[in-house]
Amino acid sequence: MCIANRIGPPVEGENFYGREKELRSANRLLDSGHSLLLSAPRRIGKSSLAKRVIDDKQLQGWKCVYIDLEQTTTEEGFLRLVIEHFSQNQIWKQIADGMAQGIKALLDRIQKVSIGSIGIDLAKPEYQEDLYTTLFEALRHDEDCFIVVDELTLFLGSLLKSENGEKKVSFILNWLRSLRQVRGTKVRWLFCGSVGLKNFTSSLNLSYTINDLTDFSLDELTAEEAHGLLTGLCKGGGVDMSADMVEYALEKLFWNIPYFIQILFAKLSDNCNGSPVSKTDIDQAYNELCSESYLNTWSERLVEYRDMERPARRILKALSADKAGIDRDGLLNILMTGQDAAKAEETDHLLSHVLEMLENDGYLLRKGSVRTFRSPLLRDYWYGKFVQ
Amino acid sequence: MASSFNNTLILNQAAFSAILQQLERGWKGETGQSHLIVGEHGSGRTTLLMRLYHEMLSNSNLQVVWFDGRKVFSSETIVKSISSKRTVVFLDDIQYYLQRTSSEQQYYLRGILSAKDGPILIATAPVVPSQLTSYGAAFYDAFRITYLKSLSSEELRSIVGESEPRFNRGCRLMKFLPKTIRAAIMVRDIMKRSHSSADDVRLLKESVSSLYRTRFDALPSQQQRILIALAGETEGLKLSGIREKTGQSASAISPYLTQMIENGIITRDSTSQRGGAYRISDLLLELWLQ
Repeated sequence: MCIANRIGPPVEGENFYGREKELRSANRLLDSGHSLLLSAPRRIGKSSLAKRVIDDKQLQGWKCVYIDLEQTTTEEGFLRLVIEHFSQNQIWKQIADGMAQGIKALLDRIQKVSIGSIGIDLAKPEYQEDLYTTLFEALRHDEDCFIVVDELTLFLGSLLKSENGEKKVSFILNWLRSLRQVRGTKVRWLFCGSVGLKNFTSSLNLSYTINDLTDFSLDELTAEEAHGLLTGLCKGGGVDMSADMVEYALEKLFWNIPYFIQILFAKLSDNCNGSPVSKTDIDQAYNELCSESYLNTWSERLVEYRDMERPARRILKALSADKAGIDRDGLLNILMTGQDAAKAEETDHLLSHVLEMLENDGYLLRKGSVRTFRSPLLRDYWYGKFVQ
Repeated sequence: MASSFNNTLILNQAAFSAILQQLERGWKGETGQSHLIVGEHGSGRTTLLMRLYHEMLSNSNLQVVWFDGRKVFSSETIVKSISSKRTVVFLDDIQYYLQRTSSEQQYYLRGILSAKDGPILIATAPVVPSQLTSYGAAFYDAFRITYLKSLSSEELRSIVGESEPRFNRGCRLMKFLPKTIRAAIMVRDIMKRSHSSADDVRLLKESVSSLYRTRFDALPSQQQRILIALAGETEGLKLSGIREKTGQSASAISPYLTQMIENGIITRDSTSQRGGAYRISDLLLELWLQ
């Protein structure tokens, strides 16, 4: 099988490979009425999987929507995306169905406005409530519908920083929950994002707004799928790589998520001179990846940790230097460096949170009594960028 | 909770017992485990170290040596004290030694400590030195660190007095002070001299006046201006409030605010929220300013 290498955007169609078990599981859960929460580490293929599930559901005749909230940081932007996408996919009730004039007027007005200029005045709380109520009432619940909301946490994190941010975040989460709670609804949702929605809502005491969602996890590819992906990429890219070399490359990556396989392949392909790929080629490609910008997103996204960004960086920096890993006491001592001893208990508590977030986001792994980087590639990148 | 030690009130019993247990283990035929006791000034770390030292003196199988870190300028000072007998080195305020010596010197000492049946080092420091947690540093991961906790309510009561009125008076004064043994002893002494609760606060201010005056006088006038503006503002002040009270523009005071945060003189509410309020970090300084 030939696979084209598409790095960055979600992979679609024939270039989507593997994840058979996850697809079966997701479809089964959706068919039985569950809405899903997919939190998984960065670049693991969440959006690609979501789009593949959309393909499956469309074949079943469902109406499907994919909304990427990474495009917006404001409430107005959120509403615009929701309204536009729902309109395009006919998720709203038929306008001709004797709807209230207000709803028709609203949707007409929104549809006339060009992108970038929405003109919704959310300054008045009563108008805001009316608007959300209107949208709630306009949503169809009598047809099978699958709505994917990608990067919800990222969007809410930005919203939180705005004036009355916490109130806005709470309102939107409660509103989304209310849409899911409609009796007999045939609308199923999938919320996916690289930043943990659970961590986020928990920190704001809003866990109840998502406790109806079923957890759905995604991790590295199976050994067979990883092998198949890299082999397919080689065939698609005209790179001569034996099964042994595929194995060597995958062992070197250790944590075989599609993105890491893709970028390693891209580097091999760039360096390829027509000869069969050797261990030296793989080592060279790996080393080049560690010093380039492909992995910058892992650093940039730490800003979403807010107050925990700084301790997270200190931990990652220390772990990138110590390949053997560091135990919890050692990590506490690192965070306590230069701090008043009286802060030990508070820092220990903070450490628990930070480690949980870093493990959930795929940075770290617990191995016995120590924590280490989950991916040697990420560790070596981190060391090169922040320590050396 | 508190036990007497040469007529001095000593706490930190849990830390004492934990480290003593480790020392009594012997470490025969092994590399000894070095310990670091970390506690803020006045938390009793030197006293704890001294207790351990006196406890080890009674062990005839050991040679026990004491160093005041302020007087240690090289690894050689420590190394030459080590004899053929297993040596336990007590080094108070190890940060002086770490700041003054090169990494070669530190590696040299580490090498000696790493030998089987080599000396054991028990040290104190006010904070965890970066030389112990930086990968590649000589003493990276060399110490088991014990953190001395803040003074508990029970411990405070045992120092200032068991009665409720005395304890409450003590708590009121401790609000302005770090939760340390030394601070509690100072509170006890103030209460001895004082005639009333109101008098307590006056005497507290008096006792720190010359220290804070020296610190205040050393600050640039713009920082003094900011501190005066913030003193007594229980909710803190946002930048706009500071501008209003000081009559200074944002560009005139912002650099000083940044510097004061870096130096720990003031804090700012969560940086993720726009318009966070600034406050004076040291409540006693704030009291003195009012």
